[in-house]
Amino acid sequence: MRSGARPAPERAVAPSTDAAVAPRRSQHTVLQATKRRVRLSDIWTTRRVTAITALRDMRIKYKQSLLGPVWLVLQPLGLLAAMAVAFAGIAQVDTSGIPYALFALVGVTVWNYTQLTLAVATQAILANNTIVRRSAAPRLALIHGAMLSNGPTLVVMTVISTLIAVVWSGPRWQLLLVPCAVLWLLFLLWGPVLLFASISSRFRDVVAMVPLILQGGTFISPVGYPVDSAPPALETILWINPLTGMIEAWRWAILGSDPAITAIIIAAAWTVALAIVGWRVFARLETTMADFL
Amino acid sequence: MTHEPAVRCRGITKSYRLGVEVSLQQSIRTLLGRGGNLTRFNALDDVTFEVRAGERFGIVGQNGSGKSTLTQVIAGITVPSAGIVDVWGRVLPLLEVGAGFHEELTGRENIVLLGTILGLSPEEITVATPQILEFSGIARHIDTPLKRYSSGMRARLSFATAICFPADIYVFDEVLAVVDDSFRARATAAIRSLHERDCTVILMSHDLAFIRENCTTGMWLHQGRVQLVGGIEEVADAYREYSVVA
Repeated sequence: MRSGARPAPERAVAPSTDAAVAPRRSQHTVLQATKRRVRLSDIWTTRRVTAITALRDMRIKYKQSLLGPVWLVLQPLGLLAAMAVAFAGIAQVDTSGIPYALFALVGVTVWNYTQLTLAVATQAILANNTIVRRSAAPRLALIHGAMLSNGPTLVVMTVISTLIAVVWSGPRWQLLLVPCAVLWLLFLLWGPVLLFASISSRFRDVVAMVPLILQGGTFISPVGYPVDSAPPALETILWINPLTGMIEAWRWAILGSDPAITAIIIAAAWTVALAIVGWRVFARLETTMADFL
Repeated sequence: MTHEPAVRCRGITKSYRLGVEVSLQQSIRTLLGRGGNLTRFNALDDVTFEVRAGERFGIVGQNGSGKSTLTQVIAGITVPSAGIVDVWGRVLPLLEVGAGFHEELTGRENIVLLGTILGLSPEEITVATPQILEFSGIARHIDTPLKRYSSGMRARLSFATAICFPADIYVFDEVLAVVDDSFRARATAAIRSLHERDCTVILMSHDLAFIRENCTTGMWLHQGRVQLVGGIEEVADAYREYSVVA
């Protein structure tokens, strides 16, 4: 770009004064030493920023990639293959009449999204560090955007599992509750994501800790095996794990399997507790995130 | 010129802890109760001033005088440790060239991204886009990913975006240092045109000539404290005198 080639470099284009874009001086903002400035209603009022950051992350993910969005499905199918070898081939778990691939597919759908979301959204503030340090962009929306950027995988995998289940055993009324299962999964993850994303802005330890949780989580969640086939030593951990109830609920909705009610109640309690803790920690740390990046 | 206030700071203090904030060594020391206390320092110390709507307000001061911290507080990026800031209208900060842009996205995609992040409506972005293309002079490259831009093009796009987006208060922190002279002249003219629209402009710079040329009033910050507030010539003279002596 040679500016010498431009005819009148000093000519300024006066920015528009259209009524449509008239600034709003009536808007009065008070900024002061405060413990919190976000409200729950900001989840909705910041939706545009959520959408644009989610869209940005989706676009970037598959730039300069030959297969692009096909990876959405290939990645979880790899995990499914590994599960099939380990649990159907070697351990030969009993899935009470449900074809193993279909049984594990539901678990993989939930686990795959959990894994991607915890990994990406936990670093939402760090990854957007110039935005956080240089603008007042709503921090909440940056985290939500990161959560939703993996939405396509979740939707595609859920649709695939549901379709296969319908082909296998015909339609069932519980299928109507699949969207609720999706929303519940988002809500369960919301708390830990807010918690980890906020804390990681101050302590990078979280960034190292999350992969650890995820690696262990693959085995202590009933992704590739049913809860009742677990060895007694693992049982307690399985019952405490909120993903147990989550996966049980998903299998009930999609496959019509008998649900472990207790596990579902425990998962619901986790959801509420984690949401409260996550939100409070986020609201507390959000005001000064820029100071610590 | 109207005389309603645009930005009013009352007793703004912002303190940070000195030294490495988080480390294992520090944590162990704190646990053992041995010199774990990090000393605090005030980047801003009881700063009080007012900028009226339509003013072009220059803030001068040495490195570390608190200029950048003050911009962050006014723009709502961080909250002060004490004191109250009142802001009337939308603030549009440009504190770093290319802040908020993403390398993999095209110029056009970045305009939409940045506008949305700064709180503009889709209509406002649509209206501003052709003006940004015209002002930056990089219309030919607008559908090219940002990673292929030269640093000059990046600076032009960044500045054009900031100045063409509608706001009431524009805050610029040393951003014109990286563009060539001809673009700088355009930028100066644009800052004047903002003034004609009755927008408030707050400029931060070490460059006294630039501040004198573009501002009407100003403030001199020294080690986080207000040294002088007043007409720009008075403030610039006092600051220059101090700098020469020191």
